[in-house]
Amino acid sequence: MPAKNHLSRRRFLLQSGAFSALLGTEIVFHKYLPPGLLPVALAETNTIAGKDPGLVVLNDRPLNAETPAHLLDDKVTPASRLFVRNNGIPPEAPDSDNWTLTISGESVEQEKSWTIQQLKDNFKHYSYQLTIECGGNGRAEFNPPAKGNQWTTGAVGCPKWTGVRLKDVLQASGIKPDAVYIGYYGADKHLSGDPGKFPISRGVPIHKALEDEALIAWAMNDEPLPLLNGFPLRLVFGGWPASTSGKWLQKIAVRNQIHDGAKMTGTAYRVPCNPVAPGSTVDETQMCIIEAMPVKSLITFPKSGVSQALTEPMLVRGHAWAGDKKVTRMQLSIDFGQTWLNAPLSSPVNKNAWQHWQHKLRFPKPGYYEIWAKATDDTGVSQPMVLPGWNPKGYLNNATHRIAVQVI
Amino acid sequence: MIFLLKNRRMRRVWAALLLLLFCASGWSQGTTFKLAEDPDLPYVIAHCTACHSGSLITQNRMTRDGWLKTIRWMQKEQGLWPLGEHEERVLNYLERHYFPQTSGRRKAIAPHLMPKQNP
Ligand code: HEC
Repeated sequence: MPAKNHLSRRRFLLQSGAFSALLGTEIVFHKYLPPGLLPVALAETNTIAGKDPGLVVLNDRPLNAETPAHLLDDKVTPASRLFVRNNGIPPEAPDSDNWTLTISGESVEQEKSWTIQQLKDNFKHYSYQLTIECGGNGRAEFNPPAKGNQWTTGAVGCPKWTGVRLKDVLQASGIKPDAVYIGYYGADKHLSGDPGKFPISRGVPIHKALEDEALIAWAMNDEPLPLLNGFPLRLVFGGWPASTSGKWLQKIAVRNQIHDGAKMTGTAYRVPCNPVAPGSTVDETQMCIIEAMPVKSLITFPKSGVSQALTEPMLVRGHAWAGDKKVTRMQLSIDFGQTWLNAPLSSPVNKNAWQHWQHKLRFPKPGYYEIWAKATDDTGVSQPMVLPGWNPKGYLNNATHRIAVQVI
Repeated sequence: MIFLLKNRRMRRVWAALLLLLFCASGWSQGTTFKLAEDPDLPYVIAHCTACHSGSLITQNRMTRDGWLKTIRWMQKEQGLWPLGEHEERVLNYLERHYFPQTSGRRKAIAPHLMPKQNP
């Protein structure tokens, strides 16, 4: 049955009061249901238009999907292989010609609006390769479990982004000396359909907003942004939780206080200010906002599960990144972390870009092996072997990536 | 076929019946993320799959108190309605099927990433 009929049938079922019949009681919630919202159970597909069919869909409504490690092998992540994290309902067909971005807030001298063409005409263009990673990447390993989409390793990518510098656009409006934060607003809608609610409205401290690499971007890898990744305009802050890089960008508020939009407060994108034991209940006042992401790496070749001939060396490669810092050492272990080999590592093409490493490994005898990859940043901080600092919402898991190999 | 039924009243009857059928058979869930079969499943589908798909349930494991806190959070922040007398059933369902399992500090590599020839 075509999908469209499916939908209309479900809508019809709902409106017909079938729920009352089903549940045998008056529906307390019926009046709360905004039009167009359907208690459908689940969709029947898990491939996404414009995306590699290998992406793993964690949630089909709203769409959330991650990229298996072996599909992140490219040095520059293709648009088709960048993960999708939606907090709300994306706009359906944004009109890039009539799209405007407004710069406002208590701490701008002068509110201004720009069309995308005006941004292109009035400001110098910059391209950077910037790593964006969801704060909850790795949540699936939390024990006790942390709620939310259960990302494993694939909510990260490093495409090339093109746009204008956020600082240039903010300076055109004039930034007051009391500015401390910027907050974004996008065109996505809240899942409840309530127009008074924002699904997400986050931001960064002004110092991050004024960095050279902080972009208002319209292109990914020299093409317009994919719809699911923010078309026609978005923010990009490399190295920080990707939730700071607002999609479908319509407004930036320069704030004289820490931005208090949706998912800035409560427990969202926050971790306990002081470390807690796994499973602890943490008061909201003791939760601090996540800033730069920690040092991390991925093995993107070979794919976990390969067989390897004992007589041949095995080429292993991947990427490493470290928030606002640089990765200075990359190490591999084939004996569960007892001994480590140093792998040659490239320099980043620019700040906040991931780095590449590769190495040829030999195995002493046939059998089951795991390859563990560990990066160390320029302040000497390394990836842990186990889940680091348990936190209630399951953020910042930068434990070493592992792949399994059978040597024959 | 039901689209062809002209009579409004008939359509309602059909709709109610079909919905019951789909829910009872689990057919309406599709195949991607299947919520556990259970007599209380229709309540969970009705209350918990309007805004997002059931995959936010199937992906998660919480204690009864954890589920209750999540429901309260959605009621406070996300526009979830009061569940009234159905709350108990929804919580029973969630606790029954999506309770945390104890596991080690770090699990073995996922089965789909393991070598096929692994003895
Ligand atoms: C009125 C809309 C609405 C309804 C109905 C609803 N939810 Fe949610 N729920 C949300 C929103 C919004 C989120 C946040 C989604 C995100 O961040 O991706 C959410 C997130 C969740 C999460 C993840 C929690 C987290 O911290 O990320 C779970 C689990 C969940 N819902 C379960 C349920 C259950 C169980 C029910 C039925 C009792 C339900 N939902 C009904 C709106 C709703």
